[in-house]
Amino acid sequence: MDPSIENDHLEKIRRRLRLRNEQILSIFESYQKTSNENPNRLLVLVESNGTFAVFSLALLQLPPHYESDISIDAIYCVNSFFSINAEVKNSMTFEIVTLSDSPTFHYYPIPSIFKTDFDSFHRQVISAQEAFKSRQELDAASNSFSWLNEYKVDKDFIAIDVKAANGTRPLSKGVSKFQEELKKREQEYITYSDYTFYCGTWNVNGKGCTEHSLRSWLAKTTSPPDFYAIALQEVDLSAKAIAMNDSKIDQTWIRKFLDGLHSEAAYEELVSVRLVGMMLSIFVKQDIRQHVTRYTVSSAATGVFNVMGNKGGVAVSLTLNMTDICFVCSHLAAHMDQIERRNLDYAEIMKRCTFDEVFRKRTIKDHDQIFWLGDLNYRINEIPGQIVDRRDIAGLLKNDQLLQEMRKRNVFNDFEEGPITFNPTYKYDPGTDQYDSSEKMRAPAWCDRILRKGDRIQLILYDNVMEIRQSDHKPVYAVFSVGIKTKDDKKYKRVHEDVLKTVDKYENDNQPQISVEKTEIDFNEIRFNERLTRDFTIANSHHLSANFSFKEKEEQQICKKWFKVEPTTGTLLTGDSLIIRITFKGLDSRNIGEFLKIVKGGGSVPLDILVLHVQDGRDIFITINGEYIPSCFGFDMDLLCRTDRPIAEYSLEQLDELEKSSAKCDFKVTMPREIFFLIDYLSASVESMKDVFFLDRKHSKHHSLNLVRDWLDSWSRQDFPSNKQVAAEALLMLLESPNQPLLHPFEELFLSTESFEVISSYVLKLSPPKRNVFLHLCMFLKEIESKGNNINELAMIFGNVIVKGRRQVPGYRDGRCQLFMLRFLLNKDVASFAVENVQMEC
Amino acid sequence: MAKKTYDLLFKLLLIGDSGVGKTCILFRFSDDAFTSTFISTIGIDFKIKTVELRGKKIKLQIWDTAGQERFHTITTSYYRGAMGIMLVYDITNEKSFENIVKWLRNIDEHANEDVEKMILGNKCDMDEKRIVSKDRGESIAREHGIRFMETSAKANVNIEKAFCELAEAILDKTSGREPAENTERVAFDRRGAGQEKQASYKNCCST
Repeated sequence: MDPSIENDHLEKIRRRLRLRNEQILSIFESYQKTSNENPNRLLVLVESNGTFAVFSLALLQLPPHYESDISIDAIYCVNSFFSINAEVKNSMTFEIVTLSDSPTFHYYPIPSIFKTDFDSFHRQVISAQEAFKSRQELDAASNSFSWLNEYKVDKDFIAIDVKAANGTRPLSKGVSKFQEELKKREQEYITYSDYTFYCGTWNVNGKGCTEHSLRSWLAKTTSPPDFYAIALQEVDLSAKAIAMNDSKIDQTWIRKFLDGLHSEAAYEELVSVRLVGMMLSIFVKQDIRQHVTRYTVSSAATGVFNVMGNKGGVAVSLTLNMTDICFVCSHLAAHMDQIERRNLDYAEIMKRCTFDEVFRKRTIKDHDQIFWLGDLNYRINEIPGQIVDRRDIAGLLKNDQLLQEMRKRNVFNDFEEGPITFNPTYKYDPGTDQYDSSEKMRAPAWCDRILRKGDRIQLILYDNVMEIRQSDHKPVYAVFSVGIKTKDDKKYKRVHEDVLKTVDKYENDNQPQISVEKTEIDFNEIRFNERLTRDFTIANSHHLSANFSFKEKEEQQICKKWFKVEPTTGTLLTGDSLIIRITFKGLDSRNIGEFLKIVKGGGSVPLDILVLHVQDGRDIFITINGEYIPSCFGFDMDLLCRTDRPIAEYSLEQLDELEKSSAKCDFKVTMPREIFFLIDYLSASVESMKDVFFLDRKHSKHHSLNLVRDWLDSWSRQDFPSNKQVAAEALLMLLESPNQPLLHPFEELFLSTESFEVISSYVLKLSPPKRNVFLHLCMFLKEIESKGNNINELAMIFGNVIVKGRRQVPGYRDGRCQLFMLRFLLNKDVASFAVENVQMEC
Repeated sequence: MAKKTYDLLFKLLLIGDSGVGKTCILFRFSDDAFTSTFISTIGIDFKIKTVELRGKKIKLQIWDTAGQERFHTITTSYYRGAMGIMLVYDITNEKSFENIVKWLRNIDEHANEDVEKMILGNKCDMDEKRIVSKDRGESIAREHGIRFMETSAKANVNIEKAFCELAEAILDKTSGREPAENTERVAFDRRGAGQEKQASYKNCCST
């Protein structure tokens, strides 16, 4: 390979790897085998201050044309763990191992554009490793691979959404991405602060409070708790209350509670909720009230028919700082044998207690922490024949229905309960500490329980209160230390700003991207009536699929009319490439004039610029260049008369100059030689002039037209390269192709005037070249008419061409042009007028 | 927690001669990085950057245009949707400064009438090669009633400030356009906005 080209590739790699002081020691070309393709890999050995690394580069194309064709596939540090296993080379593969327990990477050598063969690459890598090792012995600290950290940006730091990249889920955008990132970094701005929660539950057996004070139940801690959740059951057992599903808060209880709370702090009632017998009140220390940002209540009846409120639950949902907390007070189905019913009641409450929020319904389980208090009514199973010692708590607990059901995961899944060290709370003779002495002789049970679920909850106390005796239940309470999530505003602000940046970066990195082989397409030499195509490749080496389309520009066209682009839209999956074909459709007598206006003056004006739009991404401009080689077609008769050498010897600039210097006397000939050559050739065979001019112009696509073009453009002395039909067509094209028709500027007037004299007078006012061409044509047409050609047909063909030109102006009806020609050609004086007025010499 | 990542979306455009540093300015602003290798922008690129101004999160969508002469006709078709335009010249390149007038004419012809404009004299770190004095930059800006700043993408001078100021100018207009019960209130709001200006820069431009 040419060393300069190789240097060029090296330079691209250097730039791509942003190498400064680092040296590229060796490059070796190989490929890898992956599941469905064999991507090329350039292995590049790079040295930086005595440490070495092998870069495995993925290439969009080989050799790389652009820096963007190169991406880093992997980087291997040449440290003591590195090994490049040449033994397997003979089976056309070699391995790279970086750490003894890391995977082996297989590469397959291929003939390289770079001069290195495997042996020399291998030798260099081995000696690099030797150098590294000996250096390490001298000074272990100096062997730093930190220079490689920069490349982590390439692979790790780009916020690639792997799932979006492999198409298993859409790219998350905007809000959801923002929330996702913020949640991910929660630990950075969340701190936990401990709050003390007091939870108490008591089945009051349908009686109002007769206790002097509840302090013996509620004020159990040395320092005042932050929260009180107090649950009562059987507040009112009257049939009326049950029938009405009474939910009115009994204020006497609230007053009693407030009176009994810890005396060393000021509390306020946050909220209370009641359903018939069940009531739940939350009290909060006044100085932390402001940290409760939200609370709502809910209830679910599971009594008779699942609608009566004699059984069921009431609940409070609240947010304390950033923690969502739920307190539930429930009274589940009674009786020894109703275990399943109780389990069902629990499930119903879980399902039906919902808290309305703006966008959704929150259920009990949608909380960070849940405290469940109440008369759960689970009993102690009695085993026949077994005599139970009521003071043997451990023995009794073995038969506790709730613990048994929880172990079976039939109820209160993932809830926890503190160890029970107190006597069963039910059933006592009211006013005493004696178990039921009535006829029913109900067996004692731990009906009243306090459970919790969630992280960072520490149980401090769990006990009952024997000295409160008014009910057949004893009150139970539990004290917890609860870790509450709190947002550190300063940290949050910083993380928030950071997350905004991350999301911006994510969005920027996840723009679909397409690389283009080249942004300049050169058609080189463009000639009249020649079709050309150019192909270029677009590819997607980005991790997201990309939709592309060529954008419409002015006049809703993606390109000028003489170009065609295929395909104009499409999708490129990662790793895909596609060939775009640009066709130059060719210039004909209808569009050459317009084309010349654009390229006039030559220079470096692009022929067109295409806009390749990547959906949700950038636009790439693709410039189409080409040099137009002038031909006589498309130029005005006046200009053609100013040339003094074949048009092929002129540049566009020179022709432009010629056109601008329009002094009258500088016509070199009376009529363009090109016209003359054609008429001359046709006249030579005038004897057989039938079937030469055709209304349908069927020779306009004739294959020898370009030979005629070159013959005309070079003023060739060779024989005419085609036949007379093609000559006739070339003549028509020559007359038709200039921007202005031959009879310009009087074309309108000619069509509306019948008088031969008037027409003649205007013919004389045409520019000399135009006048001469016109009169010559008339004489020529008269001549071939006399040889049996149909004058009507000739008048129609030529009328369109010289009066109308190539313009499709509405109102110029074919008939009128023909009529004008006929009027002129059939006039008896036309021959003498032509002979008299045609200019023979310049 | 915020329900939207941003409150407002502003579309900004960078224009100016080829090589004045438009892409570098954008790269500095969006990625806080600089690279001295010149890669001509062949098309239109854009980047996203969210800033906070007066407590509002404003998402800036910044379009970087190809500066090369031959693309001018095409790039003007991108002016229409822009709410703010940064017109960049290079203080070491006389021609790029002279062309400011041409670019301004381009804006008049193709951009929205109420587009906010700002002229940036970039590469102000290269004082030893300076050809266009700051005075000349200031005076042409004054002449056209446009904001002006000298910037350096390389040394990170005024880049963030420029974008924030442009965004703020658009914000002024946007809030002025909000329906108000009476004109007095609008006037009051705008005064209030002005007073806030100093403090809010800090907000946005501290990183």
